[in-house]
Amino acid sequence: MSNSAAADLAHDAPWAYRDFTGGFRTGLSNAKLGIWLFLASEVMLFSTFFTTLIVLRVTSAAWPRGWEVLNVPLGMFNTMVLIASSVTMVMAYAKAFDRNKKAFNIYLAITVALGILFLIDKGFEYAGEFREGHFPSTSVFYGIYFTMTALHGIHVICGILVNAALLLFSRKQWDEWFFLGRIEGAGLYWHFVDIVWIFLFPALYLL
Amino acid sequence: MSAQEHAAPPASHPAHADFHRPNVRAYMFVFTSLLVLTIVTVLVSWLDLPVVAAVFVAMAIATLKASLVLTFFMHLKGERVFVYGILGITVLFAIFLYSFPVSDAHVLGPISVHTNAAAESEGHHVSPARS
Repeated sequence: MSNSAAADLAHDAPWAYRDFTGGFRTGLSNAKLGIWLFLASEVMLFSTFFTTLIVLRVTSAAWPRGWEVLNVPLGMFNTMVLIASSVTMVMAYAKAFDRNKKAFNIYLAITVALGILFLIDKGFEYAGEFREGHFPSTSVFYGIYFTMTALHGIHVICGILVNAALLLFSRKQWDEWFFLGRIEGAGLYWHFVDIVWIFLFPALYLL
Repeated sequence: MSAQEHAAPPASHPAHADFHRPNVRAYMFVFTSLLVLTIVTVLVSWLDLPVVAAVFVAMAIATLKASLVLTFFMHLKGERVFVYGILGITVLFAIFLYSFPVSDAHVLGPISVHTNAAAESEGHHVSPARS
């Protein structure tokens, strides 16, 4: 892309990306390439924990069934909350694409609220387990359970902070050329967090 | 042209390919499917299948759910080939990550820290390993 063409694009179409290398050689913007590479690294992070879970379970002489020790109805409710938040996140992207600022704000706010609801439910779940005397040190099962769900919870917190920041930034950055890309990037991260829970829930609660 | 008049870059511009046109109907279909599959996953767990079958079924349903999220919510459908390349390499290395330690697990054998003896001595119920 020539410099004059890029200048015209930045003026006429603020939703467009500028690729600072001068062109779309990969077909992707730098932002989207960056977020996918980051998600690839996150896949490896969670894969190590899932591998640990498998090895610990295979080598243990005794392993409790999730139904017997964990709150499966609450876990299932949390799964549905996270799925709903994924839908509202993608709808926020859809509304940003259509330049509907009010609807975008509503959907993103609901996404943030559902994320907070997930954390509150998780807090109640942890409190119940602590009340019954189950801690990470209680057994290997609880050790891996608390580690994996807490790591996932940290990722949920980070996602909530990012989405809340975008909600705040939308006031001034709505017309900026990079804003839609930021929504899409935040959405990719949030959907990844949902995918991790999609695997975590059956692995810990149901098997 | 103003920012308000255009929701997306024109098809002739490279940036057009970088933004995926939303498909709300598909999003709602995926949402419904995910809720149904979640309920199916829980119901299947009630069947008390042998461990291997239970793991296979649960992970198959989870993989299907993840595929729906990847394809439609993360817009993998219609995404650039480069992204598929990134994900392909990631999956390859993840397979290595899973397979090597698990294949060596039999060498470890049952270790005392894994028997939950401490939990049982404190009165916590620990089910015997399922066959």
